[in-house]
Amino acid sequence: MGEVVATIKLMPESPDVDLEQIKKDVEAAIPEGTELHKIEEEPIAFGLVALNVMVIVDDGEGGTEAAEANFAKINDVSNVEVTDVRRLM
Amino acid sequence: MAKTKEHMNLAFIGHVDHGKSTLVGHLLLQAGAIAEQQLADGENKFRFVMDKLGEERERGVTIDLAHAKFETPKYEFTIVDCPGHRDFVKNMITGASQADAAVLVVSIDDGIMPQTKEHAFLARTLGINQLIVGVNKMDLVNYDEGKFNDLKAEVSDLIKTVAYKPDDINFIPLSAFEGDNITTASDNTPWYKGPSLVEALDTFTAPEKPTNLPLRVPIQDVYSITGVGTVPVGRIETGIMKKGENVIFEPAGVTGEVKSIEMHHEMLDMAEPGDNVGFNVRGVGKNDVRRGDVAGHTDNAPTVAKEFTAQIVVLQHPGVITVGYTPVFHCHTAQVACTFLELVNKMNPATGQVDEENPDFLKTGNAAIVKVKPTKPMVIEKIKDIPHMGRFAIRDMGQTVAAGMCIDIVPAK
Repeated sequence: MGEVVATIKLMPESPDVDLEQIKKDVEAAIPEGTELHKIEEEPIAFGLVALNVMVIVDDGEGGTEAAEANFAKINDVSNVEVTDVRRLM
Repeated sequence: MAKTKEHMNLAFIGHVDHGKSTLVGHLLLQAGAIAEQQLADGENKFRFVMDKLGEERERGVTIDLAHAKFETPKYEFTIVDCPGHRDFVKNMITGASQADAAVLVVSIDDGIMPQTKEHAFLARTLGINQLIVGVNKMDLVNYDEGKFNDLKAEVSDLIKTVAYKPDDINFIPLSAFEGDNITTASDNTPWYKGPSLVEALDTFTAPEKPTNLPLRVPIQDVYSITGVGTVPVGRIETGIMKKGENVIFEPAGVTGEVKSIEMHHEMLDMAEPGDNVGFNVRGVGKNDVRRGDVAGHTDNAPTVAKEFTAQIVVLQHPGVITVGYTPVFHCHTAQVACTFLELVNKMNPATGQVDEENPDFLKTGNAAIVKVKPTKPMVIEKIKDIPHMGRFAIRDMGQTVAAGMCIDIVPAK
């Protein structure tokens, strides 16, 4: 089936959110069948910092949807967008 | 100092079992991008590397490889091996990584599979204008020229249906496993006079940033920031935004002046395609604009569609699509339910010919021209005018049921 590495961008509710807490919540929100690879901060503008969460999922049904749905429920996360998907060798 | 080769994003598309990964692996190896893998003196280094990766499942290594760059004499390429499952189509359509060119891989033993057709359509939908067709696994048919030519003819018919010109496209007989025609001409295909894969990659034209198109910034989110004011955030898809310009947000219809632009927390005087920016606008409140709106210049505002005509391909639908069907269209950052008003015609995906005018229904695998009406105002552009703003995924019941592109619009005003 193969695997896909996806980058999911989490936008914060405001510049004042606790990014470390969001990172912990992301770790706790990884669904079954999804593997967390890393979380990187991306400074956006005017103090806003997005988190780019890189996960590995199967190249199969559902894709990144469970992860997207879980991340969208995290406190202080305003929205969630998959910015990149590619298969692993 | 450092050489500045132009950079291109190269997508590998096609059926998952047609050897895309092996081809990508072989390309990276021959181009030196996997050289770091402490290669032993195995007779076949490539197989060695692949086996090693397979055994160890070294995450860091495989993930780095998925983002690896390699160089040809002319360009620097980053490869994106596209996922096979349809549930990733939405991500490919709304995602940020725009491919500049693609290699469509078709295996000589299987020939054209449904996924081959889907990916050819998706490549067009994604605005990929430059294509190479890699006819893979030639070793399985003893490098038979006749079989190659037969499949070449079939694939030519297929890609014509999505407006590629087969005469301008390199069809290359390959064996990703054996390494034939990847960097140099193979002795196994003396009848083939065309370029190797790497040579063909250098015939691509480097992409230009779409700075000449009208400004379009789909809004991801809107903030009210203390001491600054209203800050919409989004990625510049096309055009250039400068400080001091007047912008309009559609379909909201509100206008304001760009007071400042920031990216990576640094002030910019102007922003261009690909930039993820936040910009402070005077005259616009946080609640006047929302995710899914699109910013453009006031003198060339984003198009709000009352109705639009689209070319779609049905990827997976448990039943049939008929007039009245109202699924959600995901287009840039907008998600809007749209009603099918008319099924104009159904096309034979293999030939591009119209199979049926005004069909009663569409089902999985069908390609069609349809007319749809958004249930609320939405911004969309014709694919030929602003390709970045004209493509969409159609979602229903938790699935991506179809993908498509906008070919005509009845504007709302």
